[in-house]
Amino acid sequence: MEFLPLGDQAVMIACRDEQEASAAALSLRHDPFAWQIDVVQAYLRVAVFYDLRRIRFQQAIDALRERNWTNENVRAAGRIHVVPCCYEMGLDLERIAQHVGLDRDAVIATHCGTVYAVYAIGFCPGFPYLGYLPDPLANVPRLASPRLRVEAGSVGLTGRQTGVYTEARPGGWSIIGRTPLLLCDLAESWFPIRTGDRVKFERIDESDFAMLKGERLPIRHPS
Amino acid sequence: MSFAVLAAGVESRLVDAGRTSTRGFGVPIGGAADRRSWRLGNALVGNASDALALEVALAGPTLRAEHAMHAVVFGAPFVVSTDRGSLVVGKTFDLEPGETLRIGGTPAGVRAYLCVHGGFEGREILGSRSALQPIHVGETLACAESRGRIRSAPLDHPSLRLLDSWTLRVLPGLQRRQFPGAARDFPPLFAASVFRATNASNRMGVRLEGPPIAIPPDEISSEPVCPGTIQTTRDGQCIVLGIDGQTIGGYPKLAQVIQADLDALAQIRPGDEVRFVSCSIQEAEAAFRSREAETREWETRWSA
Repeated sequence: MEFLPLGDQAVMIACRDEQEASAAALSLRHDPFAWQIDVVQAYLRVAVFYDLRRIRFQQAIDALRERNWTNENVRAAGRIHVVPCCYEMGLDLERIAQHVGLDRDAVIATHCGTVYAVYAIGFCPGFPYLGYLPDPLANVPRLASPRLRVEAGSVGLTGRQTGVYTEARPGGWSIIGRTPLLLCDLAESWFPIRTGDRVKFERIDESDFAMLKGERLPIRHPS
Repeated sequence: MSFAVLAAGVESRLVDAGRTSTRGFGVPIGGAADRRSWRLGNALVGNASDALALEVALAGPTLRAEHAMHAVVFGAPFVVSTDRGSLVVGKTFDLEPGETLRIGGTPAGVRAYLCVHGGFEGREILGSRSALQPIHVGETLACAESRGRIRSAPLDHPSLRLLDSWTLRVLPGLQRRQFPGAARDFPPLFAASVFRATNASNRMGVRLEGPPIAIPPDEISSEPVCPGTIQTTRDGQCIVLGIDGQTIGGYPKLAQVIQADLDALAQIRPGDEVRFVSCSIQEAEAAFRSREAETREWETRWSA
């Protein structure tokens, strides 16, 4: 781990790999410092925001350096979420299949046969960046011209990432399917997915989609 | 019932200290962009420093008071009037039932805060009552009836004197050393240039126009960012992230505006000149502490 200044607001922890970053973020959320305001992970990096009224950068960095980061209980604490996905509603399923040279069923089986890690949340509130796609599905380029509106629930992919649009937004990712579930609800302060969690997609058909539409993602506790 | 919104203005929204502990959900901080002005406005009408206020930007709203209210507009020198005549930014006033408050434009700066005694009401989301959307025509802004003693900030107060040329202090950004020509300090074009804020500036960020800066050749993966982070886009132009800025970003970060200068960032107007000067982390911390102490002192004095 390397500790760097994010201006005078946070210590940025640069980690060896995504797993180490997720474990560090989980550990800090589980057992926060008194001066800690916020913890944000994205891929290999974790920003630990501190309250400058309570601590200086040098003290924050010292405390982080001295911390014991090898807590195996915390390492296992991420949740696993199962996200139903209707691939028949994937606007770009055909384009993806052509690009990767697989038939539609093989694309679907590959996409929902992988357990993804949540490496970052951003772009819009609650949007999980999931990785990494298995090689056969990797490197589908962005759309030449982004859609002006991608519906909430759309499951997209590009490069080595897949993710779920939690709000309707303009977007350039290829859309492989759509989930009927709400993955977050800002107005109700409800955000069940955090970095370090894992996500698996489960294939559903259009009648399942209609039945589940608008429901919240069920929360499963780690077993 | 309280204020009826007759005209919404360019971007008027209810704000408090925002959501500083939920960036991990991808939710921007939000809340008052110029925190000192918001706090001092609240102090003048005798509010707790975290009371909900109406932030107005560039061209303000027209509001009709449904009952008596004690209020103030604090921040950029907006043109403010009621049915009875013009008002002064930084001096409290009483509104009579049915009276219309007009907040017009400002010759300098961008934002000011309409604070009413007792604060506005709003629903809490993730620990803050800051609204997720600007106000709109026909909406009602709820607050309690109030009357109060007229008081005034010193009208030559530094928070009320705004400039059209700004110098922001910066610390190095995380990719600063990867920029071509940045061996020891910032790239010369960054350190020595005068930038101009463009019309595309808003609460998400201040977009600058200047000589194009050569960017690092390598792609970087997204990492956490915060208000004040200066990202350089592929065309070599800089964006300084604002209070509603994104929580993670994948552009190379050249520099980071210090916390003590973030209120100034919120007052940079399209067309204003912006320069950057580097400082040390110790200087940044000292600047934050003395600014915070100064704000507290005024809050105490004005609310007494």
